Amino acid sequence: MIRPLAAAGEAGLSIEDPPEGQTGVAAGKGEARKEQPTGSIASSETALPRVGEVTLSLRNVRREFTVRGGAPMVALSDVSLDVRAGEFVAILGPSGCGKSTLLQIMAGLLPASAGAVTLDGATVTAPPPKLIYLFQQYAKSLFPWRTVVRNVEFALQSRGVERAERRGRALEYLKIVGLEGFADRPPWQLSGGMQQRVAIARALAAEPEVLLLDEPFSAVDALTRLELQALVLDIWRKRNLTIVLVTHDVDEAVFMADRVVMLNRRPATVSRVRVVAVPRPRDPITTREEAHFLALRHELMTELLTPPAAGPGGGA
Amino acid sequence: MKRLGRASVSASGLAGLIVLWQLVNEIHLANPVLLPPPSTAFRAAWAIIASGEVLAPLGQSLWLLAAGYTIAAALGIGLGLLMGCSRAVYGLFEPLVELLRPIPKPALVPPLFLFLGIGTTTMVTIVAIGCFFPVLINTVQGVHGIDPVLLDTARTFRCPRRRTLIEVILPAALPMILTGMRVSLALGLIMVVLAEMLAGSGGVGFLILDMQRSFDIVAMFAWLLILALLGLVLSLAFDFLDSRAVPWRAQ
Repeated sequence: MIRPLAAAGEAGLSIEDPPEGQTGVAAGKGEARKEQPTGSIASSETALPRVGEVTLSLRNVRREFTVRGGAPMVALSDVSLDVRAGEFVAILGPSGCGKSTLLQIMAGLLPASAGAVTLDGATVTAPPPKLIYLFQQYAKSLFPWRTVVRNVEFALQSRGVERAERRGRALEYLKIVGLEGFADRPPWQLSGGMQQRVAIARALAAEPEVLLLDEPFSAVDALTRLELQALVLDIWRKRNLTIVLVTHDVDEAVFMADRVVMLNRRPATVSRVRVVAVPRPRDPITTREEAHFLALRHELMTELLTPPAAGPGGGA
Repeated sequence: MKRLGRASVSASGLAGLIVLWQLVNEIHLANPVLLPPPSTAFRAAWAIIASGEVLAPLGQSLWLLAAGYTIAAALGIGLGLLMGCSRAVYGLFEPLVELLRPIPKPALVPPLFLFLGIGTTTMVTIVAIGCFFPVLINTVQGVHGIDPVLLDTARTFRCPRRRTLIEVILPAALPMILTGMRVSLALGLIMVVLAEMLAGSGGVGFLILDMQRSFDIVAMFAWLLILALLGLVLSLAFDFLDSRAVPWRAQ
């Protein structure tokens, strides 16, 4: 539906710019995607991201693991969450709280022990076509026997794109992440940040509506992390994606998301949800100096660093 | 520089052996009829190679190796993929494999003679059996060792099962498969020589035994040298192809 062209975006005014709208009041995403841009770049950029109807919904999701010779261990005890179309949600929690498990259940990669996940009303039992999971371990997720461009083509193959068209189309996605010059290199010759860019291009090539990001920037150096965060925000805005980001980095969650969902320690439940009322586009330097950013960061950091108390959501 | 150093160390080890061999002859430690000096053996080997006399027996041995090796690789990779991907198939074959694998394969030659007679079929079978297990075991381990992230990647892109098998699982297991095939290549050459000695009418292995029996000791050593050279060339060729096929192995 949306052509993968960065050129329009570079010109500043893009038909892929998400139009303005009030949170929760906007029309369904199908219509909204066809809406015309407002024309004023400034107002478009300062507006809150336009958000549509609930697309991804979790209802009382529970997940247990059976450890050999032991009692079942509860990773997620009862998680409910609604993600709206076009929204950027960050799931924040301490290491090992089951964030990645939750994301894998959303992706249909892992079944829930109880509860249900629905995507646009349909229960998710297998990976849905409009949803792509992006792994933290880009080095393990890319196919080393395929060149960079052939890795991107893998996603096109699944969509049934004709063989003759694939390379040209794949190059367009590589252009979005700025790697068209590395198309014929094997991925393992690239730096970590570039490999994650390839993985992002491959994910975009599947033309998803929902992108699930599992700590995608935690394995790269600090500067590359900032670049990738900006790239993902840019792509999210231009392509009107719905993104769920899992991270243990408070700064990253607040910087990127519309809403931060905080999980507590195992067995995880949603401990608090915060709307990030920081204007967009977010700037790597100034956004982090805003009062609201700092206050939210302070609050969430405090909660993260608080030693676990015997919580009410405890092991049932 | 480092590689050059290692190569020169290897070369000096080889040179030392030849010097030792020559020395044994010089001081008459061995009967020169039974152990001709290396210069004689090398000259004889070179004569066989230069005259083209080497071609027919070498071709025969290589054909036998190729036939047995190809069958073993095809079956080993095929069954290995099935065992690696399916718990049921694994459960079915695993005890059988564990029972047959430890048997030294030359011990299977007499029963094979009984059932298949003495001929080409038996010889190819001997080589194939010798090559089969390392390929099989490594393929199964290769599939089991695939990182779940890679398989989940195929799933999130909704890659169908068959395509996942061919385009994800097979290449991901390829480094391990090739490791098995490398072991098999060395075993295959052993089995070729064994088969030719027991049931052959030509080939390098047959000639080594035949020359010894007809007391042409120099020729025996010459063919032995040619066999050693063949093993070296095959091993180097395999390494070259391996580095081309899985350049990401070192990563």
